[in-house]
Amino acid sequence: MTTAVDTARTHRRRTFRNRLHQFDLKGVPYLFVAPFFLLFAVFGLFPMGYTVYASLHEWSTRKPDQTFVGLDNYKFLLFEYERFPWSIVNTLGMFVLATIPQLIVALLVANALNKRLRAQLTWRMLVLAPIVTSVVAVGVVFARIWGQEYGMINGFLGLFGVDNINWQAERWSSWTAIASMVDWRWMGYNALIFLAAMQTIPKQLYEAAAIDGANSRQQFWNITVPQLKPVIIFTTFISTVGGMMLFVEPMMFSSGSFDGGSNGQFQTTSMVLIDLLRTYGNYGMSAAAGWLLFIVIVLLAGLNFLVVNRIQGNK
Amino acid sequence: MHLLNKHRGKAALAAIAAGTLALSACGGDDSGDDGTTEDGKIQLTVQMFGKLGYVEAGLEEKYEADHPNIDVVLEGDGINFNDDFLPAMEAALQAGSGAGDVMGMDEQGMAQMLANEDYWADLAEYGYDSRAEEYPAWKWDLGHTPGGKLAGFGTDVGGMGMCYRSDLFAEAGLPTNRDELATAWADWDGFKTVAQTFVDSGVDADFLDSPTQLQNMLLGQVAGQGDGQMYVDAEGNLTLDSEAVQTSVNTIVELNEMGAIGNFVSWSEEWIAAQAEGGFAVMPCPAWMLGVVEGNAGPDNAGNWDFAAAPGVSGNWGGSWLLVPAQSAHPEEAAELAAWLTAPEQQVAVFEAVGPFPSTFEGAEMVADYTNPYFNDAPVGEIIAASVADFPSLEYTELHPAVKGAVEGALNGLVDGTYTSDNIWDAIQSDSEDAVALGGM
Repeated sequence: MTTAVDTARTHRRRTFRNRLHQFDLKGVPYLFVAPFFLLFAVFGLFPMGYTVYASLHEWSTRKPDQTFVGLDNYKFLLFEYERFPWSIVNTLGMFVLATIPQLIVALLVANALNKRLRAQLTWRMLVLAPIVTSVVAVGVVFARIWGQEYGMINGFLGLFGVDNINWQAERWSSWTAIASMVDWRWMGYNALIFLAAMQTIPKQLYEAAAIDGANSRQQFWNITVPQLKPVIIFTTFISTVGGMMLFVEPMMFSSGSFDGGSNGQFQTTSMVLIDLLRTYGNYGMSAAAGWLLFIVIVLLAGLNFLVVNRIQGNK
Repeated sequence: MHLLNKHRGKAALAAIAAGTLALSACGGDDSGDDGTTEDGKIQLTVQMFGKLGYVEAGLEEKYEADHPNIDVVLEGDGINFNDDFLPAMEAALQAGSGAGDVMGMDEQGMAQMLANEDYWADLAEYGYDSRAEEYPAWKWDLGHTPGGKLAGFGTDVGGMGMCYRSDLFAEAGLPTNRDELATAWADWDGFKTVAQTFVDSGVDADFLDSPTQLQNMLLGQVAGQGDGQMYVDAEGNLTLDSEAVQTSVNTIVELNEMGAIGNFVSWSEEWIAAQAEGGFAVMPCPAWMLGVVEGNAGPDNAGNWDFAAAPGVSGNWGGSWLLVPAQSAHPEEAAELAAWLTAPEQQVAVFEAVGPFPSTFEGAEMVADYTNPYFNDAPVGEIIAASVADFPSLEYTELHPAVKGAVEGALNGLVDGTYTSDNIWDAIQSDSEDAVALGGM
């Protein structure tokens, strides 16, 4: 009898310890990550849900009542308010103009920085410098550089007899100017990420390739680029999200207004979203714009993932 | 998975941006504050934006010295009106706390903010309707809600004149004396003639800085002399065929065809640079703009800029009010503070400190002799005071700012080549309709 009870007791104690141990292994990590997710729930998920609710209502920040209007806000943005669809075109246009050259140049710069250089650290630091400058300062400086009458670019083009171009007046020209701003700020950041990833590529691969007679260009395309695949996917992701939410650069380019040019030539979707709220006090419409932007980003990120994966997979 | 989470978090930011207002509306309960300090003084918070000048003129200390039971707190000095102040105050009024005891409000936000009667205390209850005679009628009237509550007192007025480059005028063979110019452009036909002369002279500069400021000035003049109708009526119906809109836009179209309007969008980097470089010759200037021009053009241009009376009757731009929100714990004391801050002596102190022109008759008289050395000793006080004296009462409707923005965007498009004289009216019509649809409800 006693032995039976003892065994039961030790057994119970063991299971309790076991459970504690199990909890320590499997449960505690969740406790550690919980603060982020709790905060995210309060400041991320809740506003997102609340925004859905708001987007289905006629809701002005200037009036006390809200009326349920179903999908009317979405309908108005998509089919009646021309600036909204155009803002998506603008955002995509600037994204393509900015991101593709940015990532290619960043890759090349990272490759150069990965070589033996004099004052290596200095070069690497300098590439990063644009990120630590305030985006507002960059905006002010670039707005001057791309100015119509007193801008540096027009001054340079003037040497070849080109008339002053009003860069803000056309879509292509304003996109180019803003893309230059984005590239200036983020090229170094991406280059640094690429550089960090390049340094983890085993030297033996290059040595073996060199013995096999591969020149440096072949080494770059056949070793470096495929090895960087996950990092390229990461930077593409980050650039996509950043590019789709482009806001401060185009806003500074139009001296802080949300209009993005006289006819929204470079008004991004984020600018429309803020414009709806700030200029018109239209909370419902602004919330709907936020959700439409979210959907566009999700679609684009998915597309991105497929494309990048496919290209890299063939190597 | 990690990537996806991160990505989602980032994408949610867009939604969060829109959701902040809602959150602050939910979380903003009254923290049991009865508006007194620990030592039993009544605390009065003044919510300010831009440069109202109360800090510079040291008015907090002065008021507290005379009222030992009051603790004045000045908040928000220097913050941007459109981007920061207005949305924050809208949220605070909606939430029922945080709007302060006295709130500064720019003319462009007045109709919007006063539309909701419940937000405001009625200062007439405390006997302040007697101040009516201190102010020009329009300035006094605009401080009332549509239902007739006296919500606040006027601070400054943006009475207007024209800033002009006398060096460019001389080059173009035009008179440079401010009195001669005021006579030459006494009416708008005269102004067009001066513009034509300037354009024909071939001087390498634009005549006018941009379309919007002049159009806005003309709009106010025509509306004030006529039926007062501007872009949109109080029910939210567009009135683009009103005389004021037609005349002001057509004048801009005409000047643009003449080649007299530059593409220097107000407050843009190019606009700032052009003031130093001589990119344009004329710009409509409210009193407070003189300091802006002086700063932008710099000491090298001292004497090049001058200041003359504006064409037509007069003009107005900006000007602010001090309002007392109903949520104030001490509306009577708040009203007393607002009345004191807007009294002639304090208006003059503010004018001397940072430049906004007094809106009371007495205050305007006190600064009538003021001249500005940077503008060739132009008698700024006299010119501005004259423009204010004749200024007609205008009613800005609730949707006025939204439609104004749309029209001004289209006019900038006319000058930058996006629109032509032929399709500008279509652009104005459709953009204004959008603005009403978005802001109206």
